[in-house]
This record gives sequence, structure tokens and C-alpha cells, in this order.
Amino acid sequence: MKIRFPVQELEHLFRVQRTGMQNTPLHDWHVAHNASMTDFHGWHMPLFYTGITEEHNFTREHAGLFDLGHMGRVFVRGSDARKFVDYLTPANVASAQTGDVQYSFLLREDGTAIDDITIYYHDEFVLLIINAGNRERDVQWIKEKAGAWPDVTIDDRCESWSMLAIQGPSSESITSKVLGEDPSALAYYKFLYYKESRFGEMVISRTGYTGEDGFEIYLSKEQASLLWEKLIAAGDDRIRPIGLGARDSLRLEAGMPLYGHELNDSLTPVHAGFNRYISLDKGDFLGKKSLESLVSSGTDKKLAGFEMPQRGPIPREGFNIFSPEGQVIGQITSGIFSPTLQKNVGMAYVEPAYAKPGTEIQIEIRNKRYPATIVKRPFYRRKRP
Amino acid sequence: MSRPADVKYLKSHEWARRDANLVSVGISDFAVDQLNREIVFIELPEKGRKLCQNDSFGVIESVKAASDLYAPVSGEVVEVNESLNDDPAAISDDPFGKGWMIKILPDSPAEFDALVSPIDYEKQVAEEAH
Repeated sequence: MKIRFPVQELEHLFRVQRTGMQNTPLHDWHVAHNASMTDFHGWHMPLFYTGITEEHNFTREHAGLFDLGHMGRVFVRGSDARKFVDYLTPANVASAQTGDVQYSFLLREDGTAIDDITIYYHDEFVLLIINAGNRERDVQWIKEKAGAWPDVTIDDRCESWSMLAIQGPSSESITSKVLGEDPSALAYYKFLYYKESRFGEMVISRTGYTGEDGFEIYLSKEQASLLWEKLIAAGDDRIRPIGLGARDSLRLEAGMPLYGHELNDSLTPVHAGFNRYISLDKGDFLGKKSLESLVSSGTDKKLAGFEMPQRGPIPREGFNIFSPEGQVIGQITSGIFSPTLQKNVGMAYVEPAYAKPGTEIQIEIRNKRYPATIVKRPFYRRKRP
Repeated sequence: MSRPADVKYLKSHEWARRDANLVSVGISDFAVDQLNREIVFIELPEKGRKLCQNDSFGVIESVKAASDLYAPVSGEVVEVNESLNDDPAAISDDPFGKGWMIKILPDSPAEFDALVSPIDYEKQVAEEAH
């Protein structure tokens, strides 16, 4: 047996740890709990503890705890903080109230995405959450752009702070037990800021990357490890640590993009179908002109979800998609055998004419073509009480 | 797990068991571990296919990876374990038993005899596990 795909993700099985890898404050905890570790953009992170599928299902049924210390956190402060973020991103900043979270992007002048981010609006700051793989260049970009704004200061807490997520139906009861605060009133995509909580200065939002109810919590490195232990203890058998493997399959079922796959240096949010997150009617912002012309002209390819009706080989990133007539019309960006839906699903960039739900396509896997259908995302939607 | 004494191996972790005049083929528990014990799909050959030793006879897929499967001996595929199509997890649950994949009518007995012995395989696995 010889593993042939994807080699880089399996490296952890064969390799002694590379030098120069970065660790989160919870690194030793993961290793002590027998996590199978992987290299994620230079971070030594848990791929899984007991098994990807098992952890995936557990999160959907109970609660999963995720170490997201590798992601980046940047506070924008000063009297022009909002104005600066309004210029820096395509977000609808004017509509945001204190306590709102928005999904957005960092864009170049040509509209291509440096990263996808979340923005937290508060009277005292605007907080930007950025991806691990883009951390250095995002911070550099933000600082460089802020240079022209005398009333903006950048408070980079990538190093001093950390981040956890608790996701799944049991999240609320476990979290309220531990925090001593009641987060149940917190609505989806809202957050609370505590100057002084039981765990020190803290931001908690009702957000996530799994399609489940849950919270993302930002706090100092030292407190993050303490909070992790407390959540594990308070959750009893209803909470488990979850690795990056299940994080990827959970977000995929929820139809959420992952930078480096559905978005990258040559793609814009318009390609990915995120027009609703782009405020073209506001003042000037980075990438505005390019996005305007793309919105009016249309893009040469569009992001679409697909599913495969029959059990078969797994549709993986990079595989070609064909029209029924046999023309190449696109490529897969992410694909899995969905543990929840028990079928193969994925996302792909295809020519716009083939991006409509219901369109029949074919996926080529190892020189053989298999039928698939374009479907609406998300693939999985949780039942709400 | 303790591995059976009646099988021999390819270095690439496929096992072979002589079974009257046929040779059954599967993958070892070590190979299953390398796939994180999460097998979601297997592609097996058609009956009647002729294989040379070390030919790829199929593909096994875990959540994160696809892997080629290699024939321990040359010969003709005479039986295929079709039940694995619906239940690929049987390979991780019972790799040396219910997880058998194909049976080959071998061209020559010499190939089987020259495969890696159980004792040498234990040594190989101990080395690779480091």
C-alpha cells in the first residue's frame, strides 16, 4: 500500500517534528492526550485525537472543543478605527453596532483576497480575526495601511492572546457553567466584551466554523489553557477536544470556505459568490473598483457545491469537473465523504453556466468519470429548537 | 494486536495467505493505522484480471488520503470481496479476516515463498513505527 494523496497532510505520520514549528499554549496538552499532530501552516497542531469521523460526529451530537491559538487577533484602536476598517475591508461598517460580528475580507486593489476575516465592533476597538496561514502577511498589510491613519493604532495580540471554540448543541450549557456569565442571550453573530471576567479580559462571540451552535472565545494565552481545562472538566462526557481534521469536514458540510481552497491570492469574493458581504454603495475601500467591474461583468468561474449520488471514490481537491458533453468546466476545491449525510460532497469552481443547482456534471477520479449534481450550500443545516 | 502466523507480506504492508490453491490478499493492521483507521472507500479489480507481482490492483481511501494497493503475487483475480464496497470499515475492524480483498490464482508458488516472513515483518513495522 502506498499513500499517494495528499502527501503533505500525511507527512506527520513519517516525520520527526520540523524545527522552527510554532506551538499554541495548549501544545503540550494535545501531545499528552495522544493527539496525532500535523503541520498546519508551520503550526504543530492536533489533526485528531481519537479519529476524524468520530470527532466530527461528536461535535454534531454534543460539544467539541477546538484550540484555535494559531489564528490571529488584531485590535484596531483610536478615534478613526472604524473609518480605517471601513476603508480596509468591503464590510458594511456603517450598519454595525457595538456587539456585532461581520464576515469580511482583506482585499488587494485588484480585488483578490489576502484573507477572509471576521470583524468585531466595539466602542473601544474593532477586532479583526485572521487565518493562521496568513497571519504574518495580514498583520504586515494592516500595519502598512494604518500607517497613513494618524488616529489609528494597531494592537497586535497574535502572540499575547489565544483563542478557543466550543461548538455543538451542548455548547451553551457547558460554557455558561464555566464562565459564570450567561451567554444564552447572545444572538448569532453577536459578541460580549469583558474587561475583567473570571478569565481576565475576554471576548466571547456566538460564532463558529462548524454549522453548529457555539462560541468562539478570545483571551490571554495563560487564561486560555485554564479555560480549556475548565471546559473539558465541566462538560463531562458531553465535550471532547477536536482536531483540525474534523474542523475541516465540519466546515465543509456547513458550506463554509477555507482560505487556500475556496479563496486564494487569485480569487475575489465575487468569484466565491459573497456579493452580499460586499458594500459597493459605501465610500472608497481597498479593491472597490475591481469588485464593481467584476460584479457588473460577471466572473469566468463560480464557486458551487456538488454531491455525488452513488457511493464511490472521494472527490478531492484539484480533480477536474466535466460537462455532460465532455468538456472540462472546472476543478474541485474541497471534497469529502460526509459523515453526517453519508455521501460524497464538495465545492468546486465551475464555469458560470454550470453553477446552477440541479445541473448534472461529471467528476474525473483516476481516469474514470462519476456523476455528480450541483446543489445549494450548505450541505448540512442543523435542526433549530 | 498480534498478527497471524500464517501470512506473508509485501514491504508495502499487503498480506498474502495461502489458502488451498489460492492466495488471499489484504492489508495489515499497521497499514490500517497509517490510514488513521478511517477507511471510507475501496476500489477493487474485476474478477478475471491478470496481475503481475507489485501491480496496483486497487485503491483504498481514508478520510485524508488515497493509497494504491499492490499485488503480493502474480496471477488471476478469481474472487473479490464485494461486501467491502458497502462496509469498508470491515478492513479496519478485522484486517486479516473479514477485511480480505481479493483471492488470486497464483502463477507460481515461488513468489509467495519469497515474501516477507511474519518475523521480518514485525521487525520492519517496529522500525517504521519510530
